[in-house]
Amino acid sequence: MVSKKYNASIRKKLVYFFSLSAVIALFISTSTTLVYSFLNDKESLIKDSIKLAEVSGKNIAASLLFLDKESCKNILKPILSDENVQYVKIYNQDGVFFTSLGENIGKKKSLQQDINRMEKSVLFSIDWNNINILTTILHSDEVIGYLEVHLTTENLKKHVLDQAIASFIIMLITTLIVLLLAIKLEKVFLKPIFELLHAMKQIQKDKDFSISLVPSAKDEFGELFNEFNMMASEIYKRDQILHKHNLDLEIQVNTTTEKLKTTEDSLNKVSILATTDSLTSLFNRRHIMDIFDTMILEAENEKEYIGVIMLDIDHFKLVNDTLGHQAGDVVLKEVSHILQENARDVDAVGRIGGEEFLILCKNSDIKAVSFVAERLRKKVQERIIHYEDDKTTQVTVSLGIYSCVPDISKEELIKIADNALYDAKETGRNRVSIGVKN
Amino acid sequence: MKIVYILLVVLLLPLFASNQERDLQAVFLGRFAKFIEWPESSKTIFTITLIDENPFGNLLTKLYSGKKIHGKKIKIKYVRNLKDIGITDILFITLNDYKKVQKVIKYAQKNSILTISEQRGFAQRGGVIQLGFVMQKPYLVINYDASLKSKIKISSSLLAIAQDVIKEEK
Repeated sequence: MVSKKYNASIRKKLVYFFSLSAVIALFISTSTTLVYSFLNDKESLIKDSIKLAEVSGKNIAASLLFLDKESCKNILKPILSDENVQYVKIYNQDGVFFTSLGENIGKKKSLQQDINRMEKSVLFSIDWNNINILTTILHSDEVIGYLEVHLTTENLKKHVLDQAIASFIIMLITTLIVLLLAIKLEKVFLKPIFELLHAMKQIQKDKDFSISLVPSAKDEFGELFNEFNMMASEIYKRDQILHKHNLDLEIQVNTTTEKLKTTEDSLNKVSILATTDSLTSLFNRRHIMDIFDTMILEAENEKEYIGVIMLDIDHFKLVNDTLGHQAGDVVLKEVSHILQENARDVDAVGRIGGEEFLILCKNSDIKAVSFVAERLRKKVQERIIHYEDDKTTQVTVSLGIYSCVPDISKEELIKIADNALYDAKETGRNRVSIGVKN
Repeated sequence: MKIVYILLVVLLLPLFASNQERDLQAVFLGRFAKFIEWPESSKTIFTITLIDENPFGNLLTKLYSGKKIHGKKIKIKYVRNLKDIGITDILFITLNDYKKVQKVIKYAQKNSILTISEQRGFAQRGGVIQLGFVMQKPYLVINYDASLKSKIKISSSLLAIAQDVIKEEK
């Protein structure tokens, strides 16, 4: 999962980065300065105090040796003018308390422990609140006593605290300035980027590469803008060429499509002409025979029944002879129409001779075939055919039918149905006769 | 009875005090030497001489026996007359005779000797250090001009603790 901060905009990241860098840099430098200053001040204070103690020690040598406490105090008084010095104590050469001056003095009876710890002429101890300096008072290279200067670190701490507050205020002001600068810089640096981004979004939206950016300066952003403009221009030119090619191609495709359509129409016409009987619009002999082959194969594969109906218009020669060929054609058309209307959708109807028709019934046993054949016979018989204005006639048809799961050839099937038709004709016409396999 | 005790304490107290001051005097004699610079000489012995009465008994001998001042062994000398002083560095004067004291001071100035006395007005009369005690505290009067005449240098820190420094205004 990507953290929210990584999803922040460059604008915000830049401001955060500048501000944070400034704050960290300031914090480190300020802290270092403060620590250095504190240590330096402390060291200076200790050094100065040691020097002061040594000088003072020399000055009070006589008063110490001649046990003149008042003189001793008078000589040391200036030390107390140092605000860091809290009190001063003087001890004789045996470490016995001699005199003191200053505030909060707890009299020490003996310095023996401290004296034993002294490796050099100075011994100092430091804690958070106090600095204690013990120096030997020398006269003519002889230790004649000890001077203890007790300093408070209050002023030192106050000085450091004042510095810290001042530094903090400076840090705040600097951070504020850096923040403002970062915002200003962000505008300077990011404005061109956002212009570029806006242009890219605009292109994505409008798909228009004719867009052109105006560089505000001759810097890297200016170069970027120029490069962007050149790239957009190239793409625009390429688009134009592509568009022209597309148009040409479209025209070519349209022309070809038109041509193909015409060809397809022609082919359809040819196909219809090749498969259809021109008078009745039923399948012609050749096509119905092709369909027959296919149906036999399917029936063989599926072990289904295939039904065959051979149909012939009764006394059609008489219709031609008495009513004329034109009426004969009308009768043919009308009968064809009745057959097409009343056959099932799965059945194929074709004209195979002058007044002879073949109907193929898919997946139909003899019962179904008989039903279809009987319906066709009745419909033809019932139809009154108008062949000339108000002149009408009626015809009947004879039908020979057969059905089996094909185990014989197409020709044999046709022959069985044809024999049945002959039988129907012989037995009085206008009837359905069922074929029998020999 | 109480009155007798009080009288005894009142009478004996100055005596105790006096003994303590004497002890300090004895110590201070040597300590003065630490703040004085004498003209260079080839002497190997540092001599402290007492002229006239010896109020210290054998205290000085005890104090300075085996010790050194300015790297030199210390010799304690007791004399009665000026002619017996001879070579010395410090001369503690207990003489009461004014004329004799003046003669001794003159002698000391000629021979770069540090003169010390507890007598009142000693510094004013030409002595270098007048060492007195007030309330058991040392009271120093230093005649700076006399020290110059004696060609000895007194440390400023010693001058600093002196209650009075006699110095001719120039």
